[in-house]
Amino acid sequence: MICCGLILLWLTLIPALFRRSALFTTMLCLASVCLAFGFGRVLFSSAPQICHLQLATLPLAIQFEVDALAAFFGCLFALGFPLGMLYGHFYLKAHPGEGAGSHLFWLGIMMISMFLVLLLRHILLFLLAWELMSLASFFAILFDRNNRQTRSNALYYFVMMHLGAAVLLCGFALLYLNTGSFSFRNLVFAGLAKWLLIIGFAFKAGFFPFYSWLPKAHPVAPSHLSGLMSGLMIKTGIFGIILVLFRSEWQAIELYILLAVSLITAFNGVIHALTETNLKRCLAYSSIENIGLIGVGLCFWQLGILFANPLMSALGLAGALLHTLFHSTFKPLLFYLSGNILLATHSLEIDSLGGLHKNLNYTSKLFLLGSLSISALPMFSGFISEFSILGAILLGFNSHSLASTLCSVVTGGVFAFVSALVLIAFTKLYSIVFSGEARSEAASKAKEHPLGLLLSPAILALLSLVLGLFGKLGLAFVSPLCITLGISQSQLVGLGGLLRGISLILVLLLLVSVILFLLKSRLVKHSRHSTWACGYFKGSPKLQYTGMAYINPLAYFLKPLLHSPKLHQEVQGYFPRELNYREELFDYLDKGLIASLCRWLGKFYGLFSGIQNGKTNSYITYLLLALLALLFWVLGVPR
Amino acid sequence: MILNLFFMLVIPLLFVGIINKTKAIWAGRKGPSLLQPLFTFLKLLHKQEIHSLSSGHIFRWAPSLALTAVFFAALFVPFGSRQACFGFKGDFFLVMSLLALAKAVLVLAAMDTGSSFEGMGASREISFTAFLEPAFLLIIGSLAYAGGLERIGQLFYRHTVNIYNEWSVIIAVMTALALFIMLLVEGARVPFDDPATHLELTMIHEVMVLDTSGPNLALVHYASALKMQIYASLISYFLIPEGMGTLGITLVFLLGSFSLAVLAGLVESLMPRFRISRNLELVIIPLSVALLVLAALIVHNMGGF
Repeated sequence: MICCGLILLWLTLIPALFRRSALFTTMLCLASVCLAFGFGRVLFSSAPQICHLQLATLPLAIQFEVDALAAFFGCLFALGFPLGMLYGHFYLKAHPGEGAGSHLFWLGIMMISMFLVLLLRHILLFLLAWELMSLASFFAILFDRNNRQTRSNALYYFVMMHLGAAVLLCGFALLYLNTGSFSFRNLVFAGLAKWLLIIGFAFKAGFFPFYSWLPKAHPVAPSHLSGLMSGLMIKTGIFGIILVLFRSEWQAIELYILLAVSLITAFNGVIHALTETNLKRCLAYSSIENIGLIGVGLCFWQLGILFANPLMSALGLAGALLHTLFHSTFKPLLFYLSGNILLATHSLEIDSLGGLHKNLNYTSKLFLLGSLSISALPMFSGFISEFSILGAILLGFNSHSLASTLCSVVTGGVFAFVSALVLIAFTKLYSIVFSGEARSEAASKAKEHPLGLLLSPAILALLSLVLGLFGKLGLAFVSPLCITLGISQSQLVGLGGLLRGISLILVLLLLVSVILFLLKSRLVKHSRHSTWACGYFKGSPKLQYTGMAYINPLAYFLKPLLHSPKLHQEVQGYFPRELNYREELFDYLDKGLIASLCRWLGKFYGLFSGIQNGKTNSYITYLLLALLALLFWVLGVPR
Repeated sequence: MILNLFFMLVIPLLFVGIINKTKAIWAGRKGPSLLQPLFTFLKLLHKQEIHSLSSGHIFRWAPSLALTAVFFAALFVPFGSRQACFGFKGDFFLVMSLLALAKAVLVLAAMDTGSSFEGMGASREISFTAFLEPAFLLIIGSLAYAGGLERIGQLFYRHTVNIYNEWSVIIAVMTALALFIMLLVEGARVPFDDPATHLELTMIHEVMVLDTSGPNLALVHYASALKMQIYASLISYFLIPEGMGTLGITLVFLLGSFSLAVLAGLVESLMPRFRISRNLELVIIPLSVALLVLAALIVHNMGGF
């Protein structure tokens, strides 16, 4: 079934070359159905499948192994790709570009390579698939290739991915040297190799010091691709990290380091999401934050194993996997909707939008669902996973060693702080973009899109709501993998019972509030009037609160962590005609560390730039010198 | 269960009435009747609503959802009987998130009107969450640290102030202090916010609901009072010794809640409102108190004292 799906996926490349987007999408959906069935069967029967593929011309037998881990992520991808491409088809129709054919082709390659990454357990082939995934996504980002910003950011992404791949390569090389085998099916990762592998995968997932490609690549990619990359592709990094964590032994101190990195990732992500004014960049930073939370869950999984606390490890792992699942529903949803906003208003700067709830009625409602889900509010999906992770954290409060107690306390505090900040960031995002009055001409003239652009966001939003109301469904999806990864059934049954109780309460809550609302709107008369503006009649839309103003009380506390240089003109004369003011957020890691590193490297290489100066006579001199050196070397070698 | 529901419906508005009465008596006035908030509530229910022209669907359903969310959060908290209506281990996160949900939808409704005043109030109100959520988590964490993770009602019920045990006093007094400050912040009372001020620029909660009217306003008022009462009843459960009869629990609960209302009224009469721009620094107090309690407990448990 899986092989059949993969072959179908290869075949989709043919319509892609002929720019047949509709046919491409249809075939992709077919392939995904095959793959979803295949992976689903493996996941729920929990018997790993191995299929060999012997190529006659190569001395190499390709072995696909489908274990529960691959099957879980495979299911996620097989569900996410068709929805993404469905949106992408209509997005490309509404936003045609000259590179549509190559874009589709590379998208197809990207999807194939993502499946291959999950299936291959041969070091060289795995690295090949990994490389192909980075390369294909790089070319796919370049859809809008005439834009300078797109090219430079895509290149940044490309370089970062290769740094990650280089680290990964070192890790695998070390593994090969230790074991002498190219297959890592049943290997135990140890020593330096596991660290190198973790770091390599962390580049893809977007953990703390390696995240800087996300906020650069996502805004310039076409929206369906940003959704696919943020929702699904970075999950290959999580896949790798789970693989490494599962197959290696960890000391407590190592896990504390990983936990600290995850917390910093989450915190750093959310404070940038809070202050960022570009919609897609804000979403990219929020992905980083979510990856951090997944990391926290995974760390508590391992800590639970280490401290022989099975409930803690069950809650940690289940929470992390649930969050992975939920994040790949609500994050693509938000990215697709930001694509709708971009198409309608041609702007992603939140302070020039506003009032879109009137013109983009359905988009606004779906975006609200997405924002509430990501803010981990009850009734929506994020709540279930954070509940589980927080349970794992609280179990750590009462442990016997001081270090682990302290670590749980700090994690708990930061976790709650981060989830409150996410709430603030997303209420800001929704209310500045959709509420109130339009702040610009373009926003006031926006028009709602046809059904095609709303279909897959609607499916994702519905999924997000259903998974949030019935947490047991999500748990049923992740529990086979949890059991394979060493969690006992009984712990999961306990969590399942709890989630069933919660969903009963939440459904009741939804019903009561809907009934209350309906009763009220039936019984109460209402009239409409302009907003009260303290006696002034009808304020201007420019008087509305802006994004920066909304977070101002908190920005006071986050000032040391967020540097935003302000550029403004001095006021001149008594009646100044115009004033310019610009404020830009400064990411210490990107603009500080990486940029200065690049400058330093550039300077270093600049030392050698004189060598190739384009003058024939100097090249002849080099030749002469080389010949002389050779001559001396030959003469000097003793016979 | 029925007792819980009865008190949930009756007490919150009475709580506000007591605060107002205390303030009036302290100022030498006779003051409105204790039931005045209830009369206002009933009167608002009969009025018609005015919706802002800028607002959309959120503005209409937000108050009902907010009230329901707070009400469901209150179902997890015991009101005058030994057990709450619902409860499971770790239910505090649900309570915390339901309160956050209520706050989030009200903030979204405020932003929906496009008024800069309401934006101001919304921004201030939601900024408090950033420090109150970790504080609440750490308070629960320190109670759970001493006696294991339990239902939220049980956590507070188990910890009784016992003057012969200094640790119970430390935990109860410090935690009660943190919770009382949270009550003042969440209930939008002086010194963090002044519900009676006449200048929109200096308000927080009141300015957030500036455009809300009629039954919507009634729901918001009730939700806000119920939220205060949740904190008040949590605090008053510290006073209840284990093994007390149902009647005793109810009496102590009522006494505790009403004396907290009087205390809130006294605080309002004696303290001026803090500067708005420095408010957030003071909201950190519960967080630091909670951290202090937890740190003390950990050190104690590790054999420090």
